Amino acid sequence: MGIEIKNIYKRFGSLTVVNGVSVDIADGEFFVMLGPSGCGKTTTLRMVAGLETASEGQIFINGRDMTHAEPRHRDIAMAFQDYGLYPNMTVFQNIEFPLKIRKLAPAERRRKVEETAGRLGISDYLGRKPAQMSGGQRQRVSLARALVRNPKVFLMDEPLSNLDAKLRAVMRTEIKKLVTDLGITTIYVTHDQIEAMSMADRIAVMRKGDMVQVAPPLQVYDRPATCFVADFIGSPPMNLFKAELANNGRVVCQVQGFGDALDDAERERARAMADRHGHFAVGIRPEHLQCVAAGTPGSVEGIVELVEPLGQTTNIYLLSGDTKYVVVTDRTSLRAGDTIGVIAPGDKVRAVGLDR
Amino acid sequence: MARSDTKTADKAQRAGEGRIAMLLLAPTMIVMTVVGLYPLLHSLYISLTNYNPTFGGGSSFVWFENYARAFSDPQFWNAVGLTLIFTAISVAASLVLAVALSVLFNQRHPGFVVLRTIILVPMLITPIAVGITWRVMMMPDLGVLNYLLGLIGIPPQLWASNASTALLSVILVDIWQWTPFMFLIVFAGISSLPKSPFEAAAIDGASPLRSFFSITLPMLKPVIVIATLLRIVDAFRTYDTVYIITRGGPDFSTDLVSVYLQRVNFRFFDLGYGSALSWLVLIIVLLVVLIFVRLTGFMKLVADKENR
Repeated sequence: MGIEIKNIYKRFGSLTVVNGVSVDIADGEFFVMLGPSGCGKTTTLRMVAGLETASEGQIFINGRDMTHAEPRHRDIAMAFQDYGLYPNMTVFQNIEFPLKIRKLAPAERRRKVEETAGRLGISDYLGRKPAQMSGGQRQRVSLARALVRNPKVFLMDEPLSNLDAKLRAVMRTEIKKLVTDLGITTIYVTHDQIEAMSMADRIAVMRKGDMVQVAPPLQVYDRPATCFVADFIGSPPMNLFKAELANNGRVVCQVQGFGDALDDAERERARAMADRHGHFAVGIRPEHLQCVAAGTPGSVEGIVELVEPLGQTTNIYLLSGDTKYVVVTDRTSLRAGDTIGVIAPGDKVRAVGLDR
Repeated sequence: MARSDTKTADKAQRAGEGRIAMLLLAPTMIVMTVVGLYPLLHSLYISLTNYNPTFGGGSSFVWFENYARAFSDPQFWNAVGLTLIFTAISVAASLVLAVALSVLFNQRHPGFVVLRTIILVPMLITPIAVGITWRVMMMPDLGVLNYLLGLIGIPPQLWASNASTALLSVILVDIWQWTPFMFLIVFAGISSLPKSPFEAAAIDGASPLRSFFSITLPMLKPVIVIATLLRIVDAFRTYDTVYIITRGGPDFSTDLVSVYLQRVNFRFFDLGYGSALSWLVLIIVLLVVLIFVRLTGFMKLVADKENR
């Protein structure tokens, strides 16, 4: 059950936009596809919706092969980035439209529209036209229209990216709560890592048409599969240092002190993921690096280049040899030009594979 | 510097700007008055006289006699009736065709670009040439239309030479010539519509037909209303093609108002009466437009557009 995507491709002429994506999405799961623009996430979603046809591969929705079905036969709902409301209809008529097509009795339609509008807090606007509403209200209408017919599957294409930051945070929690309460299988497309981290049961990070990593949010954060994932998630992103395996099995790293901090398990992983020349990367989250006094045993010496106080945390940009990286700490009296020691705790240092 | 000084300077400057504005507008105003307003008012004056240059000499004031005569002139009301039928059928048919073509061409296929351009050709041909071409094509004995009909087993028609089919024939020509104009406007409208409402409708379960009537047409309404309005006004004064093809005949079956007006004014030179008729036609067109505007809520559409 749920949604099963089997090895789908989408090609436009010689351009391959989706490159053999396969994934099983469980019933009731909140699945987020995350990636930069042009990575194929929206195209993948639109193929599930039936708005694009797959060049190759199959899509199963609730166990039925829907690869070539018309959108209207798939029993899905969708929310669009620009809301996709019918500008000629009032809010009430917008939400009612899918019910009207299903030929529900007028009284039943009215009851359902009012119930759904109430749940989304737009009961007061039922008589308005979309043009008379704010972005947040419009997105609520589009959600109401999607939810009013109790869909099994809900597809969302960057529904919050046209809203301001504050409203986005509010809508994020609302959407998550709504679809979780209703138990709807959801595929959510976004380029915003915070949305992905906060809402997803599982995140699929996409790059150039490939799903690079599919895992629960914290696992994606803690154990990024490739340098692309490590760099895309986290703000500031994970520090990555070039490394390779020497013939004797030793790790040679751009900042040797950090390479030496890899524990045995990570070394083992590094061996498995290193490319045919033995290259990989050593990754450390900025908040896991610790600043100590210069010369502390086991520390790497670094020169402070820039201190960026953000209030809650402080970013310290460091230079070791000719390698730049960043440490996130609490408030600090360090200033540019200071020399300090940096320690990478062994259990926080990761081996990260290179991207193809 | 005292504030009042700058104020007077402002005032002087503004007055200067006003003068420049008047100066810049003057040429247009003068030309408009000479070629537009003056003839209009003069024709109103003539319509109250029995002016006819072929009788020589002056004219005398007859007040509303010409207008009274018009109301009991069956020839005139025949022309008005024919023009209303002509306009209604021609505009309605070209609107339906234009919308259908726009929907068709909105599906992007290679090769459509060329076809789209070809469709616009009739609009670019001089009406006189259109008239001559169609008159030849509609010739009962030598015309290509009857030849083509013969190929599919339909007996030859008299087309514009028969009182019962002549009006439909000239309407056909008008549709042929002016559908491209409607198509141009409607197509521009349809291709600028946002995509997501249609995708939402498809996902909401609407069939293509349903989404056309529930979403495409309502969203196109402002464009359709404007295109139709322009076409109505234009169709009402159709003259050249009809004059070339039928000269109003046979048996006055295509005697549109503009053809009749031309006859009264420039064959009989009954200019007093002709001016009165012209004024009546102007009033009728205004009435038709007003009714149309009222029926379609045109002003509300305009206001909505401005509010956005």
